[in-house]
Amino acid sequence: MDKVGLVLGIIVVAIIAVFAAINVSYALDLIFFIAFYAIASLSLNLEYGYTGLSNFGKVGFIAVGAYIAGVLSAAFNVPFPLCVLAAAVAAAAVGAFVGIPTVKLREDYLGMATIIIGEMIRILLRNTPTNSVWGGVFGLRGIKPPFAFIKDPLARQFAYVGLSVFLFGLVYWLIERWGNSPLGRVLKAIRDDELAAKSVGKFTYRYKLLSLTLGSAIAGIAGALYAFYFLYLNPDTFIPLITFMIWVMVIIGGMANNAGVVLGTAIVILINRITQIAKDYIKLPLEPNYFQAMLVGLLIILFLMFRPQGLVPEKPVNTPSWEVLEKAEEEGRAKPPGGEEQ
Amino acid sequence: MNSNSRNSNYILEVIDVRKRFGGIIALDGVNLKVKRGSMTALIGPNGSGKTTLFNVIAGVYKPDSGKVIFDGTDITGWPPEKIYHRGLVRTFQVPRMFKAMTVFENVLTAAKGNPGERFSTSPLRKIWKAIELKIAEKAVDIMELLKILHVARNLSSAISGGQMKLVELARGLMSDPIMLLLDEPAAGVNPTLAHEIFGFLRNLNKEQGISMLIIEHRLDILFDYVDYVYVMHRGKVVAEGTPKEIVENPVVVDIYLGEA
Amino acid sequence: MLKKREVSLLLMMLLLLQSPLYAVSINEIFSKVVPQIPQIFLDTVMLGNLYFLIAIGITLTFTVAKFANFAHGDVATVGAYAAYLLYNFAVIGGVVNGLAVELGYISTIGGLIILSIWYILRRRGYGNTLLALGIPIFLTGLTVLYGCYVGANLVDLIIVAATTSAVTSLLSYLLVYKPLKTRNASLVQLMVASIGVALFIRYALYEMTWYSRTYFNTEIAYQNFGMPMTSYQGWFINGTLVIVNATAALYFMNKIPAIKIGAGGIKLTSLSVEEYYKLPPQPNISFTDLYIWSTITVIVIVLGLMLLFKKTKIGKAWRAVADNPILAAACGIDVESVINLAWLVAGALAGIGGLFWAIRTQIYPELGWMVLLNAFAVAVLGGLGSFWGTFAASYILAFAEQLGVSILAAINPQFTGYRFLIPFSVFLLVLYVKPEGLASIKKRKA
Ligand SMILES: Nc1ncnc2c1ncn2[C@@H]1O[C@H](COP(=O)(O)OP(=O)(O)O)[C@@H](O)[C@H]1O
Ligand SMILES: [Mg+2]
Repeated sequence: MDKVGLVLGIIVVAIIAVFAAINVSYALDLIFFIAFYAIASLSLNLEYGYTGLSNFGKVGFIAVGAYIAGVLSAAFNVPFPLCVLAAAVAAAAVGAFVGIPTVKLREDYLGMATIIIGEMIRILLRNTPTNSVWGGVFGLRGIKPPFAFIKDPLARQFAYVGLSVFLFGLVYWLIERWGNSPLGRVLKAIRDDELAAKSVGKFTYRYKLLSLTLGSAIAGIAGALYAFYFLYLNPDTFIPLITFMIWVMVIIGGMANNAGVVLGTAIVILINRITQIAKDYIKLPLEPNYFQAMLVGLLIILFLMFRPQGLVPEKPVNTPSWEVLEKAEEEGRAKPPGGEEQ
Repeated sequence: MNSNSRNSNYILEVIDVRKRFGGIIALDGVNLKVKRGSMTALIGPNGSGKTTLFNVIAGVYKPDSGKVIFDGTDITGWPPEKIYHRGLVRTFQVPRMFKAMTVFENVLTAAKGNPGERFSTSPLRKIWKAIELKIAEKAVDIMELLKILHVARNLSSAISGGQMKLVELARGLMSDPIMLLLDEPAAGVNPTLAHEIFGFLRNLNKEQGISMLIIEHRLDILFDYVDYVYVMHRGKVVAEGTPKEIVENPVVVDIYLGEA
Repeated sequence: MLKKREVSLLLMMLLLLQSPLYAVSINEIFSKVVPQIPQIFLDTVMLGNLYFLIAIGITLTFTVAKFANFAHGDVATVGAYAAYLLYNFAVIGGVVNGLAVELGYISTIGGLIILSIWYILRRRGYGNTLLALGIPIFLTGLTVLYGCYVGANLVDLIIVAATTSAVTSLLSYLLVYKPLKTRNASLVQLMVASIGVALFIRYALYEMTWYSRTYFNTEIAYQNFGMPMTSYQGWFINGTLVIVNATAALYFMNKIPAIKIGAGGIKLTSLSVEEYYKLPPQPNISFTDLYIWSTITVIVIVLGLMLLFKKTKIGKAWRAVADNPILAAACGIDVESVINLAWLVAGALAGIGGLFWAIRTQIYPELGWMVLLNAFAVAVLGGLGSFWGTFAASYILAFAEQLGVSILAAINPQFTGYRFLIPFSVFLLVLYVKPEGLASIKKRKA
């Protein structure tokens, strides 16, 4: 394991432990946020980190998931697992709709299309009738909590956060498996040089479209988790800034490195929480929320410039093939040719 | 028309292909044929349209008009990935590495028919492990043959230009191609090594029967290896023949002297 | 030719768009929309002007930098704010604002210093960037001082908006995109970096509004620009168009300035109050100064750019760099200067566009960002990187939006909230049907 990553990971866990010692509910909330954002940033890692797709509308896909799950639960009493499933399907459909025309074009088009879709979804949600379930600018209410049968609120929160962490683990496992397989190689090949990937026979259009669709489905799941945590949704929480927070998490964590991305997520959220707490004690001639957004912008630029690989750089795709190489090396077949080059 | 039959003498036929970029006419009615199992060279001064022709054959550009027939199939306008699966594989003049990946992964990626490359099956190692191991062994063999096994663990962006060319070639060989299009496979390499590479290619050609069309500048190096030569100039084929005929062809001498 | 798949998609979209119509009879909509057509055309020109001013900058930087700049809208906001602050706060209560004066002097002198450094270094060949920075900074200073001591008029505001945005735009290139390019950043990374720049600028402006609110008790977000506008109203009477200065009608007792346009030519006249009140209560068309200013500005800019591209060496160099920067450099063209100029011009036009948008709606830190998404739709419809494509797309999209809004309003006035959907739907439709945009139509003819 990478040293930087290990040290930072221990610090993160330690900070959460301190929070937990002070206030359990607060720590649970913190853990939920990390799990929620980690699912979102892992989905972006699949799209951008592995496949090189520029999805600038992540928040829109989360919103689709959240609202579909929310409406199904609030208006139709659909049980929690089905809501999550529906959220994934709906977000995937939106992803495919954007992807079909754009992933075969230059990267700019996907970037512009996703950011526009993200804003379209938000403004559409704002303009839904306020007297319908959707709630318009007043927001969506009446989502049924999945663990309503647990009476103790702390225990209920604990159960739900536990479930979220479990879902996060599932997503992490899946993307890690995708990444460490021949598929991971193909996706990275497309990211590094699409024409070369085509020239070695990869149907890049299909891969890019699937990557965007599945990434969107995962974002939809994150959205559903969000809906059932707060039991209330407001269109104005799904602003583009959320998307770029997620980008920061992936960029500082390290693209195509899932552990790095989760670490990046935890770091960004902890910084956010700590500044929220600190602002009550330290007075600066600045508005902390705006300042934080400026920092998000600055961090994006600085990392791209000085550490584009992120805090935890990506690793070679891990498949059994390396054993074959190792054996060949042991047999002494990997000798450099006599003298020249090196 | 026997051009439509697989048993045709010619593995590749380019018929009156034209391609322009804005005002530049890069290909001005190119005709050429590559004999099945032969090693054919394509020479010509810089900017004469050789690479553009490769790009048209391999599906990177659609020709404005004309046809490309490969192994009896009209592949004009097919996308590159489909052409690859048909058995026609190309390399690039300027090597295009998957630069954040190791050399080993670069070569592995080029394999055909790996079931682990699907979203549905890749999480289940059992399904693809055996084939992956076979592919890895093949990759190791090819890399050993090309003498790049010692850089297998290096990032592909951190090896020498000559090695990149060899990685391109290794990728091309991973799929057991029917035919290879090689764009200056020995460019920027000293003559000794160039001879070695061409010798190796000739062996491949003889032993595995892979047809080849090779772009190269240095006639002197080519002559010992190739069967037939096409000469391009300003988007047209201006001469063809055996290496011997070409050296004696006044047109070719003119072009090359005119360049100098 | 459209393919079958495309045709069926188009039909589906059209059916979808029509679905709300079934609620109301088509006749009813027609009868409501048709009388508005002259007004729709006028509004199209105005909205198209504003779209053009923002979108053309995206196109211009795209020609040389080859990536979609997501910070372009926020660069426009900077210019709009500079003009807004100069217009409203250069002179407060009859007293010249000391801060503005200081800023004016700093900027003038700073610009002069940069220019003199350039003058000293110019022979060594790396001073051109200083020239590109020095001129707009110097100009900004002068215009601010002019605004303080003489009073800010529209031309002054246009210049200050243009120069501040130009400096912002060039700095974003010099400090962010250029170093990234030398580090071989990918296209996606450049786009992400431009989003970083966008966030930084936008929230710095938010911070500024917060600062103003907290320390000066002055609200500078979501404010009207405050520039007095003359409004005009027009009637079609017996084949002549009578345009009346409606603002004057509020103040002048007699002699309201008017223009009559008809078969007998154009005649400047004036109406008496009685005549004015005899006109029908609802005018056929109405517009303001902004329609006129923005149109004049766009005409000047289009002519200027035409001259630049067709008649000057710089224009030739620009096109060469756009085609192939390596070849251009080999031909002895100073590629860096051309790229600097592209960022300056794009920024300047964005600033002017931002100013007009602020005058039309309100000033707020998110202004440019809201407009940017529409401008992307314009740029893509125009065929990313094409000048005339962008020009045509600006007005086509503006027309679609104005017509669409009228139809939506005719169906149900509440539906006008969906106005934003129109340019965005056009954008998605273009991606599905013709991603090369309008530029491909012209190319095919050639
Ligand atoms: N994508 C392209 N766009 C514009 N011009 C091109 C493009 N590719 C090649 N050309 C032009 O076509 C001509 C032939 O180039 P090329 O095929 O690379 O020649 P060669 O490989 O024989 O050196 C050159 O003039 C080159 O500038
Ligand atoms: Mg070439």
